[in-house]
Amino acid sequence: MSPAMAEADFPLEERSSPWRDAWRRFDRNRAAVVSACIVAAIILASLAGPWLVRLYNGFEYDTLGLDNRLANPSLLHPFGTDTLGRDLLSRALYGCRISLMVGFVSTLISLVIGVSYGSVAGYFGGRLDEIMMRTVDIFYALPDILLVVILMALFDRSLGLLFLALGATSWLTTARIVRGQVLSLKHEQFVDAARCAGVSDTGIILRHLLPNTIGPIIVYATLTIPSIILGEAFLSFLGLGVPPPASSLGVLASEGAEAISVHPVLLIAPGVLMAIMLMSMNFLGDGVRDALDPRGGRNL
Amino acid sequence: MTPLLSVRDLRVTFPSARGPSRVVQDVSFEVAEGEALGIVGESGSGKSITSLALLGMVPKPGAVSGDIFFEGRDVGSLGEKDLRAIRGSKLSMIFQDPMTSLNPFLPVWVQIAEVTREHLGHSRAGARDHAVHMLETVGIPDARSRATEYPHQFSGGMRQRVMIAISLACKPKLLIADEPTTALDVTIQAQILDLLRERRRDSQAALILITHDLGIIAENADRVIVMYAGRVMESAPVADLFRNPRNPYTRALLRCIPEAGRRDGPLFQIPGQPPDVSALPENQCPFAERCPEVVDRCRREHPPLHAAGENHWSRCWVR
Amino acid sequence: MNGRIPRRAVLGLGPMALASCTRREPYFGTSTPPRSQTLIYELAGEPGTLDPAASFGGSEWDVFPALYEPLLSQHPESMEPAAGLATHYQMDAGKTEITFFLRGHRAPTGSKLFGAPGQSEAPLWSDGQPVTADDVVCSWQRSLDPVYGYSPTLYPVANAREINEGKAKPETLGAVADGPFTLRVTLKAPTAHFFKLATLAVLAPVPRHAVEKHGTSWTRPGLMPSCGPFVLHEWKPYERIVLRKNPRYHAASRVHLDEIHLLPVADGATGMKLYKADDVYTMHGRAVPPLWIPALRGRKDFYTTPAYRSFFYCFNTTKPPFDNVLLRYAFQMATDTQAVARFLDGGQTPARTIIPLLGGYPGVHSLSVEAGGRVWDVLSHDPPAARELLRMAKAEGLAVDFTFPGRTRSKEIAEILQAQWQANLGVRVNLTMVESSVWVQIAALLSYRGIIEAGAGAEYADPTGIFDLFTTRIDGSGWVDPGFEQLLEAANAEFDTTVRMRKLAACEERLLRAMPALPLFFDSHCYLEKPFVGGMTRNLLGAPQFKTGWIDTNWRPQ
Repeated sequence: MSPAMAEADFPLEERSSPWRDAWRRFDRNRAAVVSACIVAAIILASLAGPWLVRLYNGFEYDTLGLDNRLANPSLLHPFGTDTLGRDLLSRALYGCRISLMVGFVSTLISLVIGVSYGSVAGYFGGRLDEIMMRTVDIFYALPDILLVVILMALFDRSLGLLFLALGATSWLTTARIVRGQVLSLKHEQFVDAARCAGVSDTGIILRHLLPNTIGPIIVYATLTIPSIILGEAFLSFLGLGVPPPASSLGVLASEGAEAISVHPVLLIAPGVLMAIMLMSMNFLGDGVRDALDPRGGRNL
Repeated sequence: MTPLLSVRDLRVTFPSARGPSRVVQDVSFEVAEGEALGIVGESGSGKSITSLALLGMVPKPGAVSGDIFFEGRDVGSLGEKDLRAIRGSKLSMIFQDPMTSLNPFLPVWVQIAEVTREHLGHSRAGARDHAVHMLETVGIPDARSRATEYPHQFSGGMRQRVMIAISLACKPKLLIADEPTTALDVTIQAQILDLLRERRRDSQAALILITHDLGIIAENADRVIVMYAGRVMESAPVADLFRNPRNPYTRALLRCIPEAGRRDGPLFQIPGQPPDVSALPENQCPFAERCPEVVDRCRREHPPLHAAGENHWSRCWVR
Repeated sequence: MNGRIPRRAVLGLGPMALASCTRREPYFGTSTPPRSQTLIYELAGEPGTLDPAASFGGSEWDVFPALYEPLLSQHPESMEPAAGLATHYQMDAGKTEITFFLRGHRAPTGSKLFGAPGQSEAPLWSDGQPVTADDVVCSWQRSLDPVYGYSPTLYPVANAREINEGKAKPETLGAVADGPFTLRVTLKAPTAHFFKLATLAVLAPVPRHAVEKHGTSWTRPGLMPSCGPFVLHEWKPYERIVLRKNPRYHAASRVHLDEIHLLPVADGATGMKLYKADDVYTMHGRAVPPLWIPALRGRKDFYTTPAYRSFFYCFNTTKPPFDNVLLRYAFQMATDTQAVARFLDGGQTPARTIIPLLGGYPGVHSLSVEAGGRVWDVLSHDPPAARELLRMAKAEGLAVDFTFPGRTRSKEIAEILQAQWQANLGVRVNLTMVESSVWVQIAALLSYRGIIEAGAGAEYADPTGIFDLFTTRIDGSGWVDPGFEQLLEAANAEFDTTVRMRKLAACEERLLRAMPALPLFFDSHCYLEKPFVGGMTRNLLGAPQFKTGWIDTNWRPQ
């Protein structure tokens, strides 16, 4: 009997990959899809928006208009102008860009730290794991915003330091999640099989264990980004956020707060934009988590 | 000619509440190049642990002693790095349940490519092509498009073919197959075994076939060792074993095989249970409690292996 | 990113629209006068101390005129020296020995000061102890104690600098009490503006007996005798300070206010709210946040008066790129100071020189410098010329660092100039915001690169008050010129006011030729004052004259 002969066995139900399943689940969740569209729209607007505004009325985000300060929304300036006559719409969209950049880069840093830390602790286990996780527990007890404030106040304020400070204070939960996943997976048969096939520890971690943790990592990342953006806004109110001249939504909001009795649009525009962005991101994160729910994700 | 694999006095001991548990004791055998060795026994006989010991993968807290020489090198003295170089490339293993032994989240070609990239240094594209080729050689139809599919998109037999592809990808000298067809349908079993035989013929790879099924041994092995409670009870060329089984345990096993065509009468079962290896006394034959031909001496002294024919050994006081 | 300032102005809509669309009331907030002569004044934050010797220049400078009577006072309009504690003075021919005759002297000789009474009574502290010339001498010696830091105001007095630097004993000070009502002052050199210095609270006497008795806590209510128009009655830190009329003040009959409440307010918006609700009646000259000015313009209780305060930036002349004077000229000529003054819209005067054009000072109006075969007026606003100078300084495509403290006005002005310099010179300006305390340090240590915000309010309304910053090296530019200092000394020895002012202008010309600083504007005081408050004139330094203030308790809106 040639092995190449087709097998005459029972009809096989076409079961697709876990990723396709997850996508279908996500697709069915209306709120998540809408949120995803909003987030995508905001990202697009923050990237292309200032350029489009320039085409529309000639104002860049830092073009002064000293003859037309604190103007109300009008056809020329859809959001009005600020204390130096700069177009508020352009500034608000640019602010989104900066806030998003802070959110993404810091989250990336926190992911890199958290994933490496958690996977090493979970895979090697034993004393190393204990020491590493006790350290995490100690760090958990420290108030993270306070740490960031201290870091920003001690050293020269720069964008890079802000990324590091925010990223370095949010990797803890990622580390715990990844460690948990790695712990539960490292005794699976396919891990043994891979080891029997001579795959190195790094290879096992990277190819067999981590890809299975991507689900929770993605969920956590989509929820970390808005919390970092909010954290940066809080820092900006303390004067410790993104250093000038870059202005995030937080910086715009704190400038707007000073002018609240005189020209509330300065606060309302960035505030509302930030609220919409954060809300959609949170909904999106929820939707992703529901879609990647491990109970339905693994097919054994 | 030096044998490809030479195992001498292999012992694997696990600590237990009642003292050390000798899961594998005094096991010795040899495998020549291209040869197929069958290891037969019930569950708990220590056959799987033996194969793990060959790969240096006995889980802690197990302690391994004895000599294992593969290609003339002492496996027991090798460091982890050298062991990893051997595993999967010179020596590879096919597991019993391909569903749990394959990573459900990776496409099958990735799982083949992983091994070739690790050991043969293939590039990504090269490894992918090689993987498709391997899938073709193991008889997966439409290999190029199926290569990107996930393990659960394959039927049981197909999955096992994938496992075989993985194990053969680096052209190993020795294949260890641990119950490769137990989880499969009878018809598929035959196909898989045929496949193995063909691929071995092409690549001249030796095989250690671990199973509890004597029928499979009959068709696929050159030599057989029969294990019970971690010890070798009988070792012989396959034809010899079936024609002239010298060990009561082997004889009992043979009686368990239902005769084709006979429909009357109950199936024979060896009375009793396989022993708890941690509680086995040192100074008696492990099969003594269940042996139909037991004599007094069996309970007082542990029998050594004695020659029972050409290349035929048996561990029994009753000749 | 090309920071051009477009001419697109939305015509007719006016520059600033009111967000809170209230009807335009003539007065900001309610205006109900109190029933007693009680004034409530907003201070710029909690005072550090009420001891003039220990003060570093906080909000207490607004309180000192109420608690201390200095040696001399100033004529409200002409700013000429007038009588204070002293009624007469006599100056020797060499103009270095001045004898002051204090109130109570039976037979004063020499020139009589404006406002001196015919017969003067011996001045008393509010606790009845007499004020003597000895008090003055001891106070001066005390304020020069190195423990209290830098006190350059007294330096014209002989040995004052040496005592302040710890190199001489206090007894060697050129001030001697010759009897209870005679003070002999020996100056290091003839100093024409010494009379202006003598009007400052730092030169006023502090009660020696109270200081000796209570040590550093002598400034507590009940323990602090005053020889000024008011006495400290109550001090609740961060809440309010209450002053009561001093019945023993020599001119007590002419003081109208019975009580003054001083409220320390650090946040501008809070101050505005308090004023609107009639919880304060008036405030210091920097109390109005710039954002509020458009909403207050045109109201009858909003005032802007010129201040003796110059807002300028400093170049770090000790490090590249601004060690090249051509580049400094280029930046000066590229700056449109009118645009900045227009933006602030609080009565500021655009400036192309450093010293405010007040008090009879003629100023410098053009400065010709020869460079590259051409003659340039480096005080003018001339962008093409600026670019030419930039090219000559080989600084095209430059990137410049600009440091400023974290104050609202500072940031906005910095951004305006950033846009101007980018447009007019093509240079990229990197803005760095720092904490106020860090800013002071960076400027003093010259550890910044490029340009830093400096600016100054003088301690006394005289050009030397601003020149002092440069001669004492705390300006932040690193510019040192002994020739300038000599010129300044010679100018200050000139007692003829017109001649002196001309000589001071020559000093400024020399300074501007070196251009260590980039002038922007002369500041103004912006404040609100209830319509029922009268007599509270502000001098050029912004200090409120509580002793002439009064409340019209019967005031009603028309």
